[in-house]
Amino acid sequence: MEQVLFRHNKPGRPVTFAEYCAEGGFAALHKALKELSPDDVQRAVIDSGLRGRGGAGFPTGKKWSFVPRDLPGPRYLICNCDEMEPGTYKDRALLEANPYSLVEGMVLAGYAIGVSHAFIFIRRGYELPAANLRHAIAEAKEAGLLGRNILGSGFSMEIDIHLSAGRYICGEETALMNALEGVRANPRAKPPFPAVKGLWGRPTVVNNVETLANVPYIVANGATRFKGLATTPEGSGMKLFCPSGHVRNTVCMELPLGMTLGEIIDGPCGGMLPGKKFKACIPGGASTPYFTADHFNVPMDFDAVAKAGSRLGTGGIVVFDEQTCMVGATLNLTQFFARESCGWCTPCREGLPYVREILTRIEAGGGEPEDIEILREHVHYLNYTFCALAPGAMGPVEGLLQLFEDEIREHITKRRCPFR
Amino acid sequence: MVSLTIDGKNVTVPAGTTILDAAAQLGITIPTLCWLQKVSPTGACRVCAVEVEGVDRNMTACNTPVKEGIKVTTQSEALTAARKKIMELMLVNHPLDCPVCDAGGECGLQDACYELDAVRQDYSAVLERRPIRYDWSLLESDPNRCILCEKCVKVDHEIVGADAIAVVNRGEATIIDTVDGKPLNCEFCGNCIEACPTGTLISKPFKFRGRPWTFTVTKSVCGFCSTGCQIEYHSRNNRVERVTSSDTTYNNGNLCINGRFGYAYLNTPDRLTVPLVKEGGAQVSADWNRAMTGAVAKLKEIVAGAGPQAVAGIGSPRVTNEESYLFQKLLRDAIGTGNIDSEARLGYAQAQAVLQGIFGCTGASATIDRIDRAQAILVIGCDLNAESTGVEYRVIKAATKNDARLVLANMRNVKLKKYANAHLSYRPGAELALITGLMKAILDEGLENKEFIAAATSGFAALQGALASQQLASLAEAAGVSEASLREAARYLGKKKDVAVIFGADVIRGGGVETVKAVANLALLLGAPMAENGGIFPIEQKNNIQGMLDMGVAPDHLPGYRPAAAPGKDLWQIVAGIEQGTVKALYLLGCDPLATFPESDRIRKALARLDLLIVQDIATSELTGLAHVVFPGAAAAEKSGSFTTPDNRVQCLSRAVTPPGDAREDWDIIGELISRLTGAPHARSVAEVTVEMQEASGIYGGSCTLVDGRCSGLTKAMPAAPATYAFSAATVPAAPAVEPFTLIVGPIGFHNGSMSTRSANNLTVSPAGFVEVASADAARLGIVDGGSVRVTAANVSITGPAKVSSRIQAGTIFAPVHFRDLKASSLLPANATSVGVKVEKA
Repeated sequence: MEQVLFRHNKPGRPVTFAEYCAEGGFAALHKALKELSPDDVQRAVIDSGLRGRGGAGFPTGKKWSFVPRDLPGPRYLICNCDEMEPGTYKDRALLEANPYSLVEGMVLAGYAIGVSHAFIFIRRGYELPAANLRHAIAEAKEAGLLGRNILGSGFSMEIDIHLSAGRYICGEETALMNALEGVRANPRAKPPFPAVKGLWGRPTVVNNVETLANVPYIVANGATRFKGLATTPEGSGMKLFCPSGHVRNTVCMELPLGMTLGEIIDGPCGGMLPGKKFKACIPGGASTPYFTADHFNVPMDFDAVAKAGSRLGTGGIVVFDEQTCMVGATLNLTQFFARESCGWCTPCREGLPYVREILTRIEAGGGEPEDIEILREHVHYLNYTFCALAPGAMGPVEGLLQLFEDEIREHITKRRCPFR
Repeated sequence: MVSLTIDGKNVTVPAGTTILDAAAQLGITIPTLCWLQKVSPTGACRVCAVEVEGVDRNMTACNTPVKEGIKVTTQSEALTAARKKIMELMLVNHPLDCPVCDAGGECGLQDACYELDAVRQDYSAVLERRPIRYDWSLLESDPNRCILCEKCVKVDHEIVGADAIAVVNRGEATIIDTVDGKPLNCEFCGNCIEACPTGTLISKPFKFRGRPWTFTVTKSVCGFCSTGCQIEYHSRNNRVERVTSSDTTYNNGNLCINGRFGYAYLNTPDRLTVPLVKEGGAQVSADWNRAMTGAVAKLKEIVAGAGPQAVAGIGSPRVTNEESYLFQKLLRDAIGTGNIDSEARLGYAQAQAVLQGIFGCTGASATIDRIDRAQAILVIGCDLNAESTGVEYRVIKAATKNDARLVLANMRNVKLKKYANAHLSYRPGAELALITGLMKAILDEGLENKEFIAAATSGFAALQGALASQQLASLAEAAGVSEASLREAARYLGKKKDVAVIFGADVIRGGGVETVKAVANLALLLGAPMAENGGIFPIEQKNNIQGMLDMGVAPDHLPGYRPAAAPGKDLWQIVAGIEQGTVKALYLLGCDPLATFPESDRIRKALARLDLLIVQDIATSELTGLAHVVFPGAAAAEKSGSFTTPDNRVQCLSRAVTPPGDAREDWDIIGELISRLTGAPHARSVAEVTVEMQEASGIYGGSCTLVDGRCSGLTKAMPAAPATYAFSAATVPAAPAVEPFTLIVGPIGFHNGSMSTRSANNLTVSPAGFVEVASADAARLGIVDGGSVRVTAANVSITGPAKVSSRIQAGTIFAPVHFRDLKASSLLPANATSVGVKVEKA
């Protein structure tokens, strides 16, 4: 199976600059700066159908096209590497193996949008990826692939790395910009959208690591070839999946978009751990509603997953076996989200702890039948918040109510957790 | 323009308007809780939910801009339910200690629950208790009651600029606290208390003083600085217990520490409650008849013996227009002397005469709200935070909301520095050199307002010629700033349509007439008088200095600036007259020259020579101890009348409480004295005096009407602007003398005059005087923070605790003017705010 992002991976160590170049790395950058206009690059990305890999799946080229064309003054590109979604470790895996495709992708994106200063906002604790990136940036500069007058094209761009102070909300793009500006990492009101008024009030594009790292392949090999990598007609390209939980292989893997959930679990994941039976999974990181075995034939692509009632999200697949208490699993996730709420808007700040309290009660055997209705009410009202944190947090709760209401009722009637 | 439909009604509004504002235009009210008009929208509470057709989730009306063609619904069952749920969620962790909460009865959360019908709580949870901050001064914070609307933080950051509080922690643990978790350290303006819809941020002095609805609320005007903020006294049992201001006032509800907390001076135990007379060297209490009879007899005796010119009076910028009017009437008409002056002689009176000659106006050329929208602002020789905080708020607004360029010229790093595009930290005494340098730089760069100069001024060529012979480099050197910084400042100020030039005590008192003329020239170069938004603004620390001058409390003019037939003695001539024995009787109205006047030691000696010293004041002091007769007067909350700000707004004050004990309103005291001296009937009400004052001045008019419970309607006629504004001849600035140390004496933000030093509230955050020493100097002189420092000028010394700081330049010392114990101004010569001194560890 063709690999795009993991093409250069070396066992047990990161690829070197020389190896990356020898294997065709930075060819896309040479090509773009010598033969293509910024518009050509942008068009290629639009045509490729590349969608954001950070979780929301917004078409990347379209996002770039929102940046006003002729506005004087600086504009910025930010690479979002604040990978804090529980169950997700793809950006880390990618950068530990190969930081160069991100650097190359960022220069290409910068060229397409007209950016002279880009930032990588990286999760606290991602020391190795940060070190790899620093190294890669230095090497790229040394080789004239970054910095002033790149490859003699007249295009200049700098990349700065910012290590996050560490909060889940920093991964929200507007909160991330606030964090970069040195103010409290609260999300900002949209509109204005970042492409119009972002970092320091300037037009800004925020893209995920994986998204940007795909750009060199698109520029080098063309939009059609990239699109063809997916197994579904509407899909486009490869996707990094990070399985975890009760399956055999829990390593980050690059798979074509559109493989079904069943194919992924039984194939690359190597099936369930010995003696374990599949019960459910989180399909795309902690903020997505659960899938069960009934969803095994859902193609893992943005639209198909959405149609099936969940979200592809980050590709973080967390697998639960039959012995897993889904109330307990949901409580675990809710604890995370309640803790990580920025505390700004009422529904998220007050609602999440309250949902946590109800789930705690149910799990401890103190739940009441009315609690189910209150949970349902919160799934509805917590949708109306400042940013996507609370609606995301309600993903698993929604899944719990939809797929495992019986399990909740069992907790309530037995006045204990049936799995203990 | 954008057209949209709200609840089926069409409305067209400018792009960028929020749905909330667009709805308001249609008279549709959308409920809000965290929205506060005067700050940027927060969008946190979600109460203002509306439906937009085609959008699958509710939108917040307060921060969502309108879009062409959208259809908005503000009332529906679903919205009502959603809003109600928000309220219920807010109450999950709210303590509901309303019975003992200070905000009970005036609580935004209570009101919102009531309005949104959140009368039942379906949710219950174990309350998380968070520690209450009892360790802050003047304010107390109970985070348990907080609904995180962030109004306080926004007011603190966007309006006041103190940046003292912030949202800290995350999730449900989120609270409003100081950034570093230490006790609050800010300006203590308390505007956050006013903004807080709940009982989270409360005033400590007000806590448990009573339920909000049990107070009598009197709308009046603040009696501290000359911003003239509109306030409300809350009183009960004849005691003012708090001061508030509403967002609908001229000052947008924003006050400073003096306005909000300074009222405690009203309740000081030092208040004079009975007249005092001196008998055989000792002061004894007396009834009014005895005190008045004695004073009148002695006055008559002196006039009979030495003529009316042996009597003099010094008025006060603290008393009302009506009282100032009566005071000059007492001296001029009842006694027959023209010897009347005030502390305006320390600079403001002369400055105003200069401005009047050039701009035609008394005081400022425009009202201070024009500053809000100025494009460029120069603040020179003025610590606005201390001299007129409300004007500082406007400058901050202009700089932050409207992107005005701000040039700050100050010897010290005052608060405005953080908003300034350029800070010209000039050498003490170099105001004239600095202003001349700025003019030179403006002309060099061709940045003057040519259109205005050509159309409406005279004398420009002469000024240009005079400046041509000056070198920018040497002017910069004399001012102690770089040539580049002058050019940079010139570029910020030059070629702007709307320029505001604001200048304060260091120019008015320290710089003298020539410096004021130079400021006026600079304002003309920039076209400031023509500006629709901007103008020229003299700043004075005390509230009614303008009204006092308007009323003719000055030796050279009568009410309304009609020239006096025979000018009397001015302030310093009166002092000299006492020293020479030609002035034998002195009447001090609300004026304590021993507290904050320059050369106070000299004045103290002089006062001892008087045959008759009448002091009319509100509290006992060293001065009242010297007096032969003491009349207990009334403070601003205890009387009616009017004040006039330097920007010529005439505002009525209303009596909230009665003066303590036997004390009387000052107009009443003076009125009776006039009556006793002349036999004419005594005015029965202040309204009578107002009418008389209006007629006599010729420039005051209007009649009192209640508008929204606030007495207003008095006016002051402004003379028409001159056909042409005349540039003054340029004075060649001399480089200021080089002193090893220069003491700068001025106000600080925590106080106003010496009145606030009687306020227990102000004293909790600023208890005593200090001597601010630059850290480099402190190290050299072996002075440590808090250690004792002696400062000596000529043969006068003061000693105070050192405050080692980075806010002042090396070689300068700063001491606050307010404190009677420190007596900082006793070191100053007659008309100065700075003086060369010797500094040593004491």
